[in-house]
Amino acid sequence: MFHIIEIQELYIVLILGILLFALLAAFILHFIILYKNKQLTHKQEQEQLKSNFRQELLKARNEIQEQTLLNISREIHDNITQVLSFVKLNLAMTGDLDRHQQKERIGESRMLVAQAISDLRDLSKSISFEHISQLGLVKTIEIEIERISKSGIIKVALSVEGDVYTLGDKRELVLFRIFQEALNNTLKHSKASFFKISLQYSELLFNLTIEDDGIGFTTDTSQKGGSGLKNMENRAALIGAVATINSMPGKGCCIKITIDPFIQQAYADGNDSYSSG
Amino acid sequence: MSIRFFIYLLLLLAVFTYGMLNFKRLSIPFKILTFFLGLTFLSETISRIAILLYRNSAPVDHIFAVTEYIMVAMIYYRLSTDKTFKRFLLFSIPVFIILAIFSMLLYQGILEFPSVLLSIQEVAFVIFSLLYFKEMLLNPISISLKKQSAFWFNTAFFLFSSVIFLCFGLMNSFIKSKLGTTFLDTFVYTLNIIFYCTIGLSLIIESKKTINVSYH
Repeated sequence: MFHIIEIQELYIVLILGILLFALLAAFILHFIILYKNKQLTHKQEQEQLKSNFRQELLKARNEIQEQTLLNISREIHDNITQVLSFVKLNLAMTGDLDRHQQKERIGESRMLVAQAISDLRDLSKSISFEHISQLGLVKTIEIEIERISKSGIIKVALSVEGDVYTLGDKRELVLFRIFQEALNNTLKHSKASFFKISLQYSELLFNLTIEDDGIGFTTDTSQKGGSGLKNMENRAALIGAVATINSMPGKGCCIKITIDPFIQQAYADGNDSYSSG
Repeated sequence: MSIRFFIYLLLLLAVFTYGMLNFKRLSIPFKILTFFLGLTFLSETISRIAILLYRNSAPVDHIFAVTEYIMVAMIYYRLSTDKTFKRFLLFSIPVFIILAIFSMLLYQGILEFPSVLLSIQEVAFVIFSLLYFKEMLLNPISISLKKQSAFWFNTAFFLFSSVIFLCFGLMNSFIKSKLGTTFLDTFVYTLNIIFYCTIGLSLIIESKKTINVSYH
């Protein structure tokens, strides 16, 4: 009787053992299925990010192009057309003048035409996204600053610290667009008299700081203009950067973009099939 | 020395030798694993000699239980990227050492087989493997599971520790039922063979890996 109980006990233990094996095997199988599903979701998320990045890149390129065309049309309307109209008027009036005055007017007109030619030459150097990949971020920003400085609207200063290295075409294009958007906001809304751009290149971090001494604003994104700031933050995030926007009414604005140059983002660093054309 | 034990030792030596031959190509956790295999081989050999000479290998088992725990915890520490899990692993090492000392002084002396300590160890390894499975699920990578050395390593530890823990429980029932422990001994040997084959597989995959996945 005692022996039978012991055998029964052994059977129970064996059955429990077999059940445990089955449970362990089921656990591993379940894990494999779950992991595969997670892999699939992860892949889809990566694809989505890649697609978002491409869209943002395309948008940034279009915006740069639009900005360039706007700058060209403004330059032609405000400057070149005015100069050439003045030259036309000058030359039209020469018929009534004596020889000495005619000579003076023609000389004056020649100088104005030379200035118009110079302005047209500058226009041909207008920023396009090809410039960024050819010249790099620093040089492109320098050209843009030179253009703004010439207009005399605002005082602009640029400082570059550390040894300059490339962050990749796509990242630099997005960074340039953020800079351009910040510059436009300053020119349109801030009433600033001074605009400062700092580029810091160190081994571990890259910083782009854009500051102005304008009227500032509250950084509450629910207010008007908040979407533009959110846009900057989103764009920065897409290239693996962090955008910090600090501003208070009357205290100007400071936008800081920080990026770890060694963080590899497949969609930001790799070559995608998208063509610039 | 029985044939099955000889086969077991030979397999252990083969896996350890493979690890040593490919040592430079292995990531840090798998380098620790190679040392762990070497230590297991050494302890099994000394243990067998101790049985032949003194009919007792418990002191070796006491010492090996602690070193094995530290090494496995360090492997998981290096495999994981989760800060909480890493802290838990580091914290568990001194706790286990204190537990081992208390167990030796108060419960199962140096000349007794440390079954309680080993049971606790196996439970801890199951917990480690479960936590690592969770971490894998939270941070999936695009490489197929069968090509992930960490998956094979973790599966080996999860299954082996769970089953060995069960075997400790079954041992008493088998002795009581007068069936003896022959069946269970054979089962444990087979389990060891499967365990070290899986560990060997994880080492092979790791040594053939061209890119570093996420181990630190």
